Amino acid sequence: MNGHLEKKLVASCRNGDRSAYTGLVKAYSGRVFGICLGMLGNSHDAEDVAQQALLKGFTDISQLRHGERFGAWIGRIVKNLCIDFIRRQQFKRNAFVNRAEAGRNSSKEYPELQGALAKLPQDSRLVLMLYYFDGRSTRNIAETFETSEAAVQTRISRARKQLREILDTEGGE
Amino acid sequence: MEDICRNIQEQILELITDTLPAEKAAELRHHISQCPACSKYLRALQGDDKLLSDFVEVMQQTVARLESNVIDALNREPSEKPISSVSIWRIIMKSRVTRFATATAVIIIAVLIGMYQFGGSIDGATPAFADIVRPILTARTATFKIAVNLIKGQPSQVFEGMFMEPGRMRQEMEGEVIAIIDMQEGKIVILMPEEKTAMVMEVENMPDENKEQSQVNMFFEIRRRIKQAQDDEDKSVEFLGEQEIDGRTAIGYRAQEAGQDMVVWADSESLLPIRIESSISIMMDRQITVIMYDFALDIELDESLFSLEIPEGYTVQTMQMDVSRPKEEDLIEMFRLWTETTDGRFPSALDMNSIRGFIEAPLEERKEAIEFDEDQELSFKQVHEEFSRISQQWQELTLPRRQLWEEYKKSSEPEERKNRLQQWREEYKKTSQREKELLQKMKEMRKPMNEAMEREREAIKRRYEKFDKPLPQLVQETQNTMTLIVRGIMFAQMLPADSDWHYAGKDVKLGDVNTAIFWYRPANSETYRVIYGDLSIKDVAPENLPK
Ligand SMILES: [Zn+2]
Repeated sequence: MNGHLEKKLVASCRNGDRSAYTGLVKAYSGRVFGICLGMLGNSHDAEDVAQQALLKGFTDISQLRHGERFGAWIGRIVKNLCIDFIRRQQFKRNAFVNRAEAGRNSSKEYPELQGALAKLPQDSRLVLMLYYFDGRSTRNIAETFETSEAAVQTRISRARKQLREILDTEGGE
Repeated sequence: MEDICRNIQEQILELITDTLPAEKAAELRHHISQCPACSKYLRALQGDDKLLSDFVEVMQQTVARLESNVIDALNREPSEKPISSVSIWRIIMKSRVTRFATATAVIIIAVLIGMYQFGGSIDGATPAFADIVRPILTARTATFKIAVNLIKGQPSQVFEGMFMEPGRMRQEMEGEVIAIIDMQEGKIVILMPEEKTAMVMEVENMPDENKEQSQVNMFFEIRRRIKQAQDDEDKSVEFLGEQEIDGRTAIGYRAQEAGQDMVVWADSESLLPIRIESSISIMMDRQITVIMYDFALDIELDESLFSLEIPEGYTVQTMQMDVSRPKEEDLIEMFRLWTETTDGRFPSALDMNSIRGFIEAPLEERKEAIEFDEDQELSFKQVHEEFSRISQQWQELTLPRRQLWEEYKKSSEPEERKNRLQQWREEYKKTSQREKELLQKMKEMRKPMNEAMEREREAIKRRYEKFDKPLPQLVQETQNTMTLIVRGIMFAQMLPADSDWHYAGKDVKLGDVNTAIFWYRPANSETYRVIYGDLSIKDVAPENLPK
């Protein structure tokens, strides 16, 4: 999404225009979901946290100073929510969440791939998911991580290599 | 594999991300065409790419559902409650007794942790951040207001805070509760004027070297966070620029620590603090927001405000808190209490998060308190599944239309755009009636879902009522428990690095004689102390340690 349009949409959201936010949701849902899936490693949790993040993006939009930076900003929100989620998971098992999880014990798509992704180091999984879910654009990822495109490319190569190694060993078993 | 191929395969990774210069790429392709191993590797990577793409394609359904759920939630009536949060805090905060008990628990934990904490250095900060936080770090006295927000959308609770070196703090809540904390004296006095009740906590066996550093109050907590942020500034401190706050021009910094935010706003000219916003994540999915404002630093404050004397006519309850250096026995006691409380499970880790986890245990993990209602569980599950099913139907129904719209957006050919739009209109006509029905159904389902939530809330409330004991008893129990827990965990935390301590109790059940859950080497000892799942202890030679 171009910066100008993004800025306009953010300005409208600040004035409470919910339909303007729809445009931002559509533009960034892939990125948000990719981050969640990369950090959390399973699609159910990823969907929950992504939803939370996108809603928080709307309620907190007044805190965003530069409208054209929405992409990086929502990326930060998502990462923080994922960190919170992981930390919560570590020390508690909320009865309610357990129950909801049990109710959604659906079959996995691409179990082999998902299994391999789960074995990747978190940062590799994250960069890979972002790449594939956010339009295969290293520029987008660089924006999200607030780093250079070259650094992103290196990370993608490394992640692909690690994934290959895992899939290779699994296949050989 | 030959070294040259190993090298080539590294480059193949770059080839597929399109980061190789054309010349290099051509060279590489030449080698690949000649080398079976490398061409196999390239094909494998291409296969991975296909697999990932297919996977992402399938997951687009989920992304689309995500979008529609978000948009849907935004368009919902603003008065409707958010669908995915059980407001335990609302329940807890309704009860005065539990409110005090929670506050007391927080104070007790802070005392115990504060006792073992040592001040960090303030080196390495950029001048600007250091300049705006210095007044906070160096103030001898301070008054401020503390607005604590427990539930988003509800009014905040405002405390009057006063701070005076060395480490004294007075905190008043609407005249209901006054807490005076004096770490030099090792005493915390909590006064409840309405009930004419006072609680005195006496801190015992405090090591002298800690007296200067221990400050148990929110002011201290803010200082601690600032110091930590300074230590880690490159990663965690972000300049926020200028903003108008309370009619003044302020500059701000945000410091982040493991997902928790702190924002410090200071007057752009005097550099004195105007407002500090921070969040503390505690209990369930709740974040407590704490805003400190109306600061006055280094002003005259009367010593009597921090007096530990109990006014006449008060009933006094005194408690002791042992803060001597924890020993091995404390660790064992902690394990014992923890396993008793959590149905034989050991903590997942020995850190401060675990302590918080333990406070939450009464609500979530104490077996006797949790009675699941099978029917309710079933009904919730059914409603949830039904909702998912309908939302899936909606996805499927609108998928062609949404795809057409995407194509329309992507195309730049006027003729093609026209066609796509036409197709989209037709598709819209075809599906809109059914779509309305589905959306209506989803809307109707929210009511049963909310009802299921409400039942859930009631169940938690019933669970919680078991802990609605008389305040003094509750406070005493909380204190006893927390002292044991914190001391045990601090024993491990305070072991020197060369003690080589390990904790492996996660997922171990109490009584497991054969599994070592904790081991460390005492100072000047050849052998290790090993604690097992049945809480027995043995001295073990290094070569016989668990792997
Ligand atoms: Zn080769």
